[in-house]
Amino acid sequence: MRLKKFEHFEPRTLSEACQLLNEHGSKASVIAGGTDLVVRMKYGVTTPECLINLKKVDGLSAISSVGENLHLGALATLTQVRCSELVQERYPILAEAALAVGAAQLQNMGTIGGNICLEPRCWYFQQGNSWRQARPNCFKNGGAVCYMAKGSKRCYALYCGDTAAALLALGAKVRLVSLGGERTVPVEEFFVDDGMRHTNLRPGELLAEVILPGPGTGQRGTYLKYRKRGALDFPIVGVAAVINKGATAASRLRIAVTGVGSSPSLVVPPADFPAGTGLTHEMIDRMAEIARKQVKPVSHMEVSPGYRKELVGVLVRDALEKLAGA
Amino acid sequence: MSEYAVLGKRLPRVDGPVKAAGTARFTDDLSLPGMLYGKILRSPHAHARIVRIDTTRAENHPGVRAVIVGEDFGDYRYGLRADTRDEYPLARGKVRYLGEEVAAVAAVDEETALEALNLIQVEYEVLSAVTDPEEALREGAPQLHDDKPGNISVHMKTSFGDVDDAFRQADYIREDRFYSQSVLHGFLEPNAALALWEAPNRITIWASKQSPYFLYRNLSNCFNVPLSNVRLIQPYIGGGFGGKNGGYPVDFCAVMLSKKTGRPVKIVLTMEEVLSSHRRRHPMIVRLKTGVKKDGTILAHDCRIIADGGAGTGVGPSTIANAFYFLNLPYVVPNVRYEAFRVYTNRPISVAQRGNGIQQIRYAADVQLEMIAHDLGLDPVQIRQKNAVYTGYRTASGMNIHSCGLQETITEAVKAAEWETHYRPWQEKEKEPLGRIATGVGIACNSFQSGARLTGHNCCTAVIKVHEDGTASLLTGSTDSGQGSETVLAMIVAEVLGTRLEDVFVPQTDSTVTPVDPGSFGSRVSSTAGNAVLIAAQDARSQLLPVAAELLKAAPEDIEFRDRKVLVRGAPDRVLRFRDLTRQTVAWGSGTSIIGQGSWGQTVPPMNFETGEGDASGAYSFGTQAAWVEVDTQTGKVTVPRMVVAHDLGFALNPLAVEGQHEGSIAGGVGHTIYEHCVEENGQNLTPNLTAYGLPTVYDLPEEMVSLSIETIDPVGAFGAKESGEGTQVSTIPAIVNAIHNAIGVWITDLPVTPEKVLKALRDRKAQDRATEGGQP
Repeated sequence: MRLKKFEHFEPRTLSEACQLLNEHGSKASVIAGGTDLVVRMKYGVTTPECLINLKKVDGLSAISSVGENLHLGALATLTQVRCSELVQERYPILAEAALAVGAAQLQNMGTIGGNICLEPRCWYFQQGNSWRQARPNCFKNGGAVCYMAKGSKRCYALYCGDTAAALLALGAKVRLVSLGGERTVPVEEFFVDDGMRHTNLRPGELLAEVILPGPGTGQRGTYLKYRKRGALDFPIVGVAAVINKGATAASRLRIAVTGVGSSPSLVVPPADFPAGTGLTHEMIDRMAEIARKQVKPVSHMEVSPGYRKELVGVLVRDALEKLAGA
Repeated sequence: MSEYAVLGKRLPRVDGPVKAAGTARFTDDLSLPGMLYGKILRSPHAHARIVRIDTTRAENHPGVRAVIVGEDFGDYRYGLRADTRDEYPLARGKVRYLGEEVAAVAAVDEETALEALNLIQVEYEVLSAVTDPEEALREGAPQLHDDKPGNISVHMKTSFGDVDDAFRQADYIREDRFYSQSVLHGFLEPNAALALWEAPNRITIWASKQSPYFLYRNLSNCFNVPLSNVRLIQPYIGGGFGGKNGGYPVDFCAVMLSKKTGRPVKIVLTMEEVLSSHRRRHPMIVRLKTGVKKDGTILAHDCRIIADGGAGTGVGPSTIANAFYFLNLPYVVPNVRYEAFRVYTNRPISVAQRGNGIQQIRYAADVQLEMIAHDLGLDPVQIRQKNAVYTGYRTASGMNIHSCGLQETITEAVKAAEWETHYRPWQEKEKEPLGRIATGVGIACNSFQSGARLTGHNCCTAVIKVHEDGTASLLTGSTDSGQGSETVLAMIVAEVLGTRLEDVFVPQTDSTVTPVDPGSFGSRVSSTAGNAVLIAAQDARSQLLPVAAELLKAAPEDIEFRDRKVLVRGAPDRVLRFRDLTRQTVAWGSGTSIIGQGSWGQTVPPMNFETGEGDASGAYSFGTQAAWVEVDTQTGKVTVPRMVVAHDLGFALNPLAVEGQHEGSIAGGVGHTIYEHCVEENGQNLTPNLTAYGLPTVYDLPEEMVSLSIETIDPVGAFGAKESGEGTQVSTIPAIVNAIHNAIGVWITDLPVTPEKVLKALRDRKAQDRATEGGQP
């Protein structure tokens, strides 16, 4: 089946892209790898009048060291990210997360920028036209109901990006550009826990770059993904954990969770969480319990909220045990 | 072993290269000049009265050539038997499930057809729906069909032996409830049809069918066209598994739209349409009571089944009968009682799927046998050996076993699974703390019909045309839906004519050209069509033999056909190339054609859908599967790293093809056990796409799959062959479920085995232990 007609723009520069985005506003969708957007367009749940294709924007897929940081262009494919020697050497957790996305074909097409911006998912949203006609539209399809949480005032679609959890745990930042200028925000400030609008991207703004801070030395991290099958599936729960040697207590341990709410979220260690010593089993158990208690899953897609909560505890424990043993 | 020149060899499938290269043409790859595209409008309600359909706007839409509704088909209904015809090409008066076909459009392209669907106005009066078969049986439940009170689609009640007395004699009795869920067929080529109506009354249709002659008759009846004018051509098929047997709305609509427009019309369903509203396996609630002696000898089964039939009957009577027949095998059951209700619900129609009704019953019976062994402290292997049927056995219901290698399959499976090393009874493991990953092994046995013996036309016919260059064409109506029959049947021809596999061409089914055939269901092709091909090849050979005798100056009985040569036994110097023989034969006298013909049908009477008495087939396969599982005790996730299939298939016509079948069975069985189910809400499938439905990927299948063939040379099947395609999936579920118990001590009686269920069961184990001690001593 062919897609509905749309205009297709291929800007050569970021400013040209921003110009187009400004011009067409909400009628436009930005496309990079298309692995998420095209599926939604086929379903007819996203019907842009024009597509702004970033593929031809110069230099947007570069992975390069800038000072002591590492910059990833938003257009770098997941395959590029996971195969990059710089990423593998300095932030192996990100390579791990990129490898966990979908399958090889999707990694070849999908980009890091697209994976971060991945539209929240829900059984009641990503469905074909005739399926949706069988019930009133949910929030995400322009209606006024959330079938995941009947009676709720908001949409509980699940954010299921893998790389965002790793980036969150790494303390990465994203550079956002618009006609008016640019801003760089930490990943945790980029996301919003709202199925309808899960990022802080402002109208006319584009995600241009991911910035990984520091040389990555003295850092260990891992991304664990629990999914139904060995390939293809989005995470039921994904947990990223990063330990920084010699850092202060607050930044020493960073844990991020994805697949649980409408955005990825950080699990914050308590203020008294010990620094400077190795992770003991007691500390790990305690952290797992904190994580389990902190998450408040609502969606019953695939599994019940209770089971999803359990999994968060298990995966946090597994991740920390792995880091402690490494 | 070396008795045969071609058979028994591991020959790659003849359709392999074109499928691997992507050049095989499936229905959607075909197009005709002037072809229109069809789309189907489906019901958004699970149960509703159709008050009015207004197609005017759709008809006036530019590019639309025809719009059809139920009334266009008059009163035509279809189904397995006269009394079960409850399906319409398009809904009439009422819709009975969400996704049921209501109208269809033909337009110049797909987009226009889709636009037109939105312009069809259907006014519904929504009725209350019932999607649970137990609720559908209750008084006051919404009724689906006016002529089927109580929502009963099929009822079967039967008994053999003295069940009550057997339970009185029993030392131990268990009663359990098992549930097997809605599983989809999982073929990757959606249903598709390309139809051409030529006035006044000629139909040509290319359709994805595993049993094309059902549709050939359906179309003749529906359009009142003689069978000679129904030409059904079978392109390559992307899997069927029971979901492409009969005629479906997609076929009827394509023909009707072509009739209305005078142009060819193609309809290809989307995967969403297939997964949400096409056919599926029968979900079943099985209540099974079993009595045994102290030593584990089975005395009786008392079984009650409620099968969720969905909104129509389809081949349901065969499913219900099959479940009864295979309550009697593969173990000796001297007394048996059975009552089954196949119930209408407002859900898509349940039909046959690889194993047709037998998986569900054997899952219950074999897991329960394991429970009994566990309760009585008996060895799981020994209890199966003790109860295994044997050659010469006749079931209480009258099924006759002429060849049986069940004991050997148990022995071989146990050996290959290194059972002695890995098996420790749960009672022993129970005392130790559970590690993060708990491992266990499980075993289960199976039996299956080698060709379901149904009523009506049930024989296979083959015609072999030998060309003058020594090659041959085999005309058969038995369809290769991916199981490899094209290769195996060609091998039989090559064996008898002494040629090679590549010398035999098997064109795809074409009802104008190929002989009528029951279809590729019930594991019948290798054994039944195989015999027909054998007879036809012998017929062709017998036409060549007199010429060969004359040319070689030898007695016909001394002549051998082997490796493209014609030889005289005991006289190595007298040789003729087979192609020279065929050339000379064709030119003999004023010329002749070498056309061999053969028909073969089973000699047993048809299956009895009322009482289940007698045979279900002329031959039965037997087998054993062993599974090794790993259970993550923190997440509940079950993986099956290793699985063994040991199958008594009579004779392995092509061991490579057999392995493919065994691996496919494991894939299907693992999917059914662990991964697949339709999540539904008020009759709406929430998982109608391949991302959400979750067919297992290659990563989710056993890394090691061991395929063992036990050859018993059956007296009935071609060259002693029995089936090896469906029976092997029958025991996959109980083998895995039994292994899970061996790993973590819980019984999963409700499929699929989701991680969440496993985790809950682990936590509830103490409570469950109490509950399952309910059996009376």
